[in-house]
Amino acid sequence: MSKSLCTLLGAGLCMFAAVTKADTVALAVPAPVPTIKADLPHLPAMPVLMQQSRYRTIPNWTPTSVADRTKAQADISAFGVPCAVDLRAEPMPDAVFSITVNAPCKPDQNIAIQYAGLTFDTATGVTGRTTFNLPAMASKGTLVSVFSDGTSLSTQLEAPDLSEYARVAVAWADALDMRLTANAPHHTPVSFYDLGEETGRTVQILSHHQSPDINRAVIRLGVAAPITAQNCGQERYAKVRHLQPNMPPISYDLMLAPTSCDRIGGNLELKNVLQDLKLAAN
Amino acid sequence: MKKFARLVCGALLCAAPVMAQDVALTSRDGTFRIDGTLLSYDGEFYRVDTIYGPLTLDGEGVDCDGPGCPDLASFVAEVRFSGTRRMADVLLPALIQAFAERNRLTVLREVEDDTHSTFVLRDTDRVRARFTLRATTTAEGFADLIAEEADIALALREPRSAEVAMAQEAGSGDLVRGRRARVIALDGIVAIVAVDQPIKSLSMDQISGIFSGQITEWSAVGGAEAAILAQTPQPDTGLYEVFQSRVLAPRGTTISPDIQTQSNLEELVDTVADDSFAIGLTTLSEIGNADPVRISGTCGFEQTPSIAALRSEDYPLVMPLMMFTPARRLPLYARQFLEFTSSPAADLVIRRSGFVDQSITTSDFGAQGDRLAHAISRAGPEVPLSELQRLVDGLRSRDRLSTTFRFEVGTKLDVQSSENIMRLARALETGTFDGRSLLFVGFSDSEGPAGPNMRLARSRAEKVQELVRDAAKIADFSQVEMTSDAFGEALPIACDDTDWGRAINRRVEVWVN
Repeated sequence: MSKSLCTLLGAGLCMFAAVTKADTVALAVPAPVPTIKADLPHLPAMPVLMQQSRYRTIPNWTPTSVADRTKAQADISAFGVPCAVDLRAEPMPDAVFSITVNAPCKPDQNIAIQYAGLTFDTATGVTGRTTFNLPAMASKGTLVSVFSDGTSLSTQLEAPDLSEYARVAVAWADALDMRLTANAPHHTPVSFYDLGEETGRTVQILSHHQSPDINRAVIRLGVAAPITAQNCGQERYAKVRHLQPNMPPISYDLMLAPTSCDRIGGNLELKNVLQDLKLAAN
Repeated sequence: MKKFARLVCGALLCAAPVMAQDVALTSRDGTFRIDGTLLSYDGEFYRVDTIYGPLTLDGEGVDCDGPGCPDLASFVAEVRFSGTRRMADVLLPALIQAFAERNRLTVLREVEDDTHSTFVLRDTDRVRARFTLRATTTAEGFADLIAEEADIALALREPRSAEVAMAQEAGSGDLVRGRRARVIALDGIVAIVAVDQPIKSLSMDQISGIFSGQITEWSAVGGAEAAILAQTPQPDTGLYEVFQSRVLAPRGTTISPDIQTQSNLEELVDTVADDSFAIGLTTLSEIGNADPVRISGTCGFEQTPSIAALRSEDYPLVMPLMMFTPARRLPLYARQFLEFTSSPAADLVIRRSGFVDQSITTSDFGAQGDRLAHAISRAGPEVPLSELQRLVDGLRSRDRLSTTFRFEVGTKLDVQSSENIMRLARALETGTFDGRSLLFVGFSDSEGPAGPNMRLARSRAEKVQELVRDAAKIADFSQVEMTSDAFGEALPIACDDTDWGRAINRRVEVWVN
């Protein structure tokens, strides 16, 4: 567009064109073509420009916000953060990892976490980020996070101090309120980790640090759930993984038969389904 | 009453047909035809109730016609286990899991409740086998086996004479003869006390007195002025029955009806662990957070319930965990599972589950220090010093195998020792002892004169050696030397002033170099 033409069409139009050209991200935006008023009596006739049919009319055009255009065209989140996805695992004390999944452009998106044969569901927050503590369930293993759009990330986890811990993980294939229960003697402290959202697949992990001077001990394990209208009459599937010092890990799959809906308000308690943790004295 | 009714039902074969429908089995060349009611099909063999009685026919040789014929392409082996919770709760699930993994099958355990489960074994194509497991008591396991409601009974004791008779009447064959029983693992009956109870050793008479209700105060056994709170399992359990028959019956007593019973061993053990003045009757595999009590003798020996002592039967209350099979052919998967239970891979699972496996281990001569010291202190006219010197010379360069043989009466081996014959024979067949020599050494108790005791010990050692040689049919005996010797009453393990002490001392040990 020449400078003289700019003078002819008026400053407003010329300024818009200048801004448009100056914007480094506007190349893909269709250049707005405003309607030109034809009534310019003081100017000499300019047949080319006065032919209105050369200008397309865009009715009801509203200007796109800079933020929206930036987000759509530059791989940057609504908060101005680059969209690159990221899975990080930071080793913590007690053979636990702090896991962070960062996906700024995938806010409120479900993620399936797969690790050591166990799977649970979690979700990113409004910023596209989620973080949780994950007890190691294998001395070496791969953590995979799969977004609901199919995006997959993975990282390797190594826990050299895992051999000091006895752990039992129960992965429930549905959200039916089933709980891992434990009865441990007072000198055998245990901690519980709950992983996953209540509405999806969950994993519960019991962990006990076996100190070198510990006596022999037995931790009794069971599963329990209140019987409700939501969970009665439904099968429950679970995968169980046991880790104990100086023993190879074991895993087994369970299907708990449906409880009768006549028992709503009662409790389902199974004491002989999980193998008790029998800790040998060092 | 229910059990009795089921046994009668089994005797009349009224419970036998699972899918009673007509079949006609015709040989491939058409020369014979058998009509009857299909009792079972195990993937290989038809079992048919005919006018001649139950017949078993090889599926390879016959064609099946009729509504009762199974779908051969989708056959799923059904194997039903029933019996003692000591085995069904922990040991069987672990063994089934390991068996499946070894055969590249996946397992899903379908849990009906705490006592009923089904293990579904599948390969990449389809379900291959379903193992159902009923956790109950030894007596119920035998009843289910006799009534053909179970294929394998899980038992803590051998069948009683009434059960053997009932099995024969039901056409289930002889439960005692033949290889109907397999010892899967070992456990021991132990008395337990809380960790803070200072009394950790009691004589068999004291234990008997406590559970028969004759001893009610800890002060009567050297403890505090406090009442003893004794706990036993339910009277219908195998553990209760074995304790009653092996400990109390020889003393003419029974378990006191006033003693508190617990519905399961876990609750019993937890109750005792939390109460300083309690004592409970349980098994070594389930002592929880309590302490086991050693069994003391008047001569100074103490029997500690340990894995090594159970494996060599040096502890008096060893309890074999057994599987009893019916006198009919089991499906291939069932037979493979039974074979698996005596493999080294199963031994690992058994140990991990808290039970004692029967793998053959060794201990060196130095580990016999206490026994030797005791023997030297008792040396005299019956066992002169020269005999002890002969013993030391003969055994010093050798290691003792955990495999030990004990006798019910005369030269009749007990059930665990019969299993030991098979184990040792298999080790010989696989060349475990090639290039080495095995010495079978007979020992006796000290009751009666030393001369006959020595002769009896020698004949037992020779008998065991002969049984092992007969059982090891494919062993190469040019590679291994087998001899026997006897030292009579020279090296006791327990005091000879009790029946159980003498029973422990009557043994054949195996020493290897």
